[in-house]
Amino acid sequence: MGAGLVALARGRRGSSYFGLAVCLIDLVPLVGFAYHIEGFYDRSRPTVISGPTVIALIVLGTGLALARPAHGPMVVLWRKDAGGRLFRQWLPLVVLVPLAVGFLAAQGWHRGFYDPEFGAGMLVLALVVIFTGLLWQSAARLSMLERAERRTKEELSELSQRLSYHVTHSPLAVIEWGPEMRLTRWSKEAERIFGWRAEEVLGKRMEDFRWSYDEDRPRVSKVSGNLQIGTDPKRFSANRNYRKDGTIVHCEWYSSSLHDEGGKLRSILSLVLDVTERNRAEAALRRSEERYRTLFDTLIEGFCTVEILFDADGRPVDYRFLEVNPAFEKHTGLHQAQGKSMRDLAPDHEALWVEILGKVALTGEAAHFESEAKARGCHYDLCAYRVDGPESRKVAILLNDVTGRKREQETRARLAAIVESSEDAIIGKDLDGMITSWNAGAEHLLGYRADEVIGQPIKRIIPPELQAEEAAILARVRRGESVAHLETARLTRDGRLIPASMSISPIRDAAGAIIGVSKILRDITARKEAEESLRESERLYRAIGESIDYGIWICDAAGRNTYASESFLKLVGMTQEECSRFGWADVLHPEDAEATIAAWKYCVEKGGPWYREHRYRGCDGQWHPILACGVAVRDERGRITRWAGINLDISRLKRAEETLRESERQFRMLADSIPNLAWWADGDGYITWYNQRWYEYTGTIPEQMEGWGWQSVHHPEMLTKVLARWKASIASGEPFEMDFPLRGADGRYRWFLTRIIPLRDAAGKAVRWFGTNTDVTEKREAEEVLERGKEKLEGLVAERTAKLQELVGELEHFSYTITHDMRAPLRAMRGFAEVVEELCAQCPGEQQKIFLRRIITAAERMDLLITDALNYSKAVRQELPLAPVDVGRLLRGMLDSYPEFQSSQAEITVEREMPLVLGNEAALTQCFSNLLGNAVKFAQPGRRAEVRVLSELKDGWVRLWVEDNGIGISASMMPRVFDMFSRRQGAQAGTGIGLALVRKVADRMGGRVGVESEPGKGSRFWVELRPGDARRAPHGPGDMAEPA
Amino acid sequence: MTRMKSIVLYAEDEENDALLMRLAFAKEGLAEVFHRVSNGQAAIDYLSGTGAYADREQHPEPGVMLLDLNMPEMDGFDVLKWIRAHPLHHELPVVVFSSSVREEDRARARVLGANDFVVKPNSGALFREVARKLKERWLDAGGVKAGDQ
Repeated sequence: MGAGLVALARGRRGSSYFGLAVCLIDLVPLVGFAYHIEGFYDRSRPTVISGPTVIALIVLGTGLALARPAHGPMVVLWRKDAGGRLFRQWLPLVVLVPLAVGFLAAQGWHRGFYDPEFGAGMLVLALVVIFTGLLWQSAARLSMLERAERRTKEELSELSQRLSYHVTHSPLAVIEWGPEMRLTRWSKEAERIFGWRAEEVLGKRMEDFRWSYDEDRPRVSKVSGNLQIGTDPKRFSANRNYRKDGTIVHCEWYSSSLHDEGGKLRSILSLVLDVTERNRAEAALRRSEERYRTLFDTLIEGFCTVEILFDADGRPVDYRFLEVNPAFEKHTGLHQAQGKSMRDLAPDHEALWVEILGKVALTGEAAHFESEAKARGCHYDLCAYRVDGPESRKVAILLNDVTGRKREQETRARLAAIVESSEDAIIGKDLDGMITSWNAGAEHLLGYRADEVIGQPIKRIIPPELQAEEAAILARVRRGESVAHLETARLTRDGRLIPASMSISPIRDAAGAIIGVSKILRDITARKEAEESLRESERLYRAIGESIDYGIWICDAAGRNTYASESFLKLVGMTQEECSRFGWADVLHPEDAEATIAAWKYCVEKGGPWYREHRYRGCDGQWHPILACGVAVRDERGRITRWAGINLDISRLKRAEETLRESERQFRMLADSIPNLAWWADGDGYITWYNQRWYEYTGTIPEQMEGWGWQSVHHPEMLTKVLARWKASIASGEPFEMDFPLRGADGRYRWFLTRIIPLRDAAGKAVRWFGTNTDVTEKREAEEVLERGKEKLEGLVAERTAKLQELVGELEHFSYTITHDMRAPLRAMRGFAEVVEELCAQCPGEQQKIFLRRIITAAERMDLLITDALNYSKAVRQELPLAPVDVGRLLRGMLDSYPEFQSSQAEITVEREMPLVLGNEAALTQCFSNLLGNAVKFAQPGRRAEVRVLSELKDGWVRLWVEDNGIGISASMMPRVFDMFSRRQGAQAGTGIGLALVRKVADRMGGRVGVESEPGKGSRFWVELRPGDARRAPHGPGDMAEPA
Repeated sequence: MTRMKSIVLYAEDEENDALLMRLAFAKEGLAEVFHRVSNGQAAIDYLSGTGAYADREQHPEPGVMLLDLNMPEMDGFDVLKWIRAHPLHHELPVVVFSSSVREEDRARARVLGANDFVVKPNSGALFREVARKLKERWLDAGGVKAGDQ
């Protein structure tokens, strides 16, 4: 115990062993006590010990054994693995079960339950069970552990394979050093990068072969040292290495070191990336960048890079300058633009630029365009292309101020346009007479295309006789002279000679030396023609002047005659000289002379137009009325240069005027003698004349009425309407007719029918209007009386119709009520008669039974009559909406549901294919139930009714036949057969309403009915209706058949 | 579960029709099933169990009602409306029994909740058929809920 404690105190392993030994030693007396084995605790022996001491020592020993659980044998007890768990589970059982079993065996033996052999056997059995269990459990655990170990090994192997694969195929070289910094791994990529194969370097140290680049070696050693001692377990470094062939490779090293718990290096793993190419590219890029920068700064063109700004919809709206070169500022005048947006710098900047640059940024397609910056008044030539890929939205712009060039171009273009658009031929030639330019006007005038004549001698277009003129002109031009408006002639391509006006001037070079000739040719054909035309025209006018009586006259500005026509001079018998000396005034009629001479003086003084009628004495001694008219002829400045005019012989006109005046006098006499009011108006409605009757009726005078003065005698309420109508007629030229009142001289209004008719000219235009007003007051009064009578009559008719409709309604209601209410007593009559008949069934007295039967039959008949009457009134009243009806289906349905139509009573056949008809299903049912009912009812006595229903298409109608073999209808009955209450003779006489109902419903459906019959042979009733196919199938409520 | 309702209540002002129907029920051996009231108000009193109809032993609740339309003061339509609005009787089967052949009467009865519409026959034999069918359809079969058509 003491040794154990000493070992514990010194931290030695033995303490647990000592504790366990104490426990085992003390277990001996304990077992002795328990099993009364005196030999285990015999007092005579030196190992004598008391029970409590034993227990105390066991507790102490156990404590000592457990004091250092991590060391010695106790390690197994506290382990968390399968062994520890097994040990902890079984230890109490292994200790306690033998003790308990032994104790029980000993007790039983002591108490004599069994002998010692039995006890020993039990003990052995118990121990066998325990140890077997222990063995089984251990075996199971071991198997399980072995399986787990195998699995783990497999996983490890796979893991190792994967790792090995990745190491081999990694794009990075994998290099590993062992604890002594000898290479232990050298991947394929390392072989590729450095050139050494694995077997050449594995096991070697870094300094064993020429690998580290000399310059970088101190740095590599430092990194390596840090990795080895673990101060810097992860490390990135970039350095150069030699390849096997001595070339240099640039590498990036990603290294990590692994140390064990004791801090001892186990391995260093490096991943190596060959960055030689990249470094080279970067260096090249740097050089390029430098070159770019130089270019950028020294470029004559403006250069900038911009970032295009887009709105939310992806439309370019602006751009921001990222960098600009000095030339850019010079070209654009934008200072310190970098970082600013174009809209900030120039709010009115052209949207086109943004649009184009946006497109470049989006599509990557470079753009080259010229555009104007209005704000600056400059033109730029721009070349834009995208930089840094599609996402960057960056565009580089090379720009050049081309304003000067542009202006020069424009000026040239304007000049060229002028030359091209000129109608004159503008031709350039050199001093040798060779054509150098040829405009569109020249092409048009001379017929040659520019490409045909440029480079050709100018002589081509000069007529042979004028060639000398050309030489003279060239000589003048060489002297520096210009020639203006030279009238000459030129040859066209098709050989025509055209008169032309020509202007020629020298063309000088920049130094002022004459290098060519510019020639402007104007076609003066039209002018020449106009001049000729004028001369012709003058001849023409003179001829015209001479052809009329009495020709034309011309006076000078002072009014003295300078020319008079032959015809005039002949008329008055004087010479031109006499006439020029105012001889014409001597032959004027004395009544006209003074006034005409004064008027002519006044006209000459004022410069006004001359228009005057006067009479001249002819050589024949007669007075000739002449209308003279003329005007002042003025020069460009408006000064009168002469007077010109004509003398018209108006003697026939004067005679016609006289005739007209006479005719008008007669007309007025006539107009004044008629009872109507009458008047004339001009084409524009201005009234110029009223007949006497007008003035008499209205009590007015002509001054009041002239023109539009007639309005004063109109009724104010009607005037607006009359004016509107009258103006419409004037505008359209259509005749006017209207009734309106006019105020008489007595102040009372009377009604007049006014008719106005136009008098038209040859073109159909109304030039005068003739109007009459006829007094219609009496007629209107008579009409009004008639109208009032008519209104009264219509009111009366409407009132009576309403009353009649009310009466019809009441009657209908009355008829319905009476038929309905009549059925109640009828029902009672019949019901009670049946009751009595039943009661009397057993009684004697046949007479009473017959009478009762008669009552019942009469009541039945009465009921039938009422039902039919009700149906009839319904057919008259109710609405019958029409729709296509399948008559075949309807009839077959009726035959199935009406007992009286069953085949036992009658044989009714319906044609297989029946057409659709336009009708009402309920009404058709009523119609056919009556027709079929009659056919069955009026069968030949003792013969079965045979009825056939057929159809026929006839003139756009469907005719449905119901044929029977019954008694037929007599000739006298035929005309009345469809009348109300018209009955046939027969075994079962009807109510006389059925066929009337048939006709009524057919009528309501727009159809017709009829019958053919031969008494004793049968009848053929027909109903004609419109076919149902002609109308579309029903689709709305209005078209639907009424529910049956 | 209430007591079996096994009577027919016939509301009719026309004495002759009432008598014919009573005879028809008697002929069919159903005299005790037949109860009649002579106008609309009486029909409502009967159903409410008020006034002369307070004794339910004597005037048991009907299993079906046969209802004439044309009655003085309170007509068949009013009675039908009253029944369908009543919390206790709204499920009572009602067969309208009228001499009207007007489609509008038939439609109105259907809208107001009549279970059937029978046109008054004009023969005693047909009255008996009405009586028999009423019994078979509405009483023997235990009735059908109001509104069933």
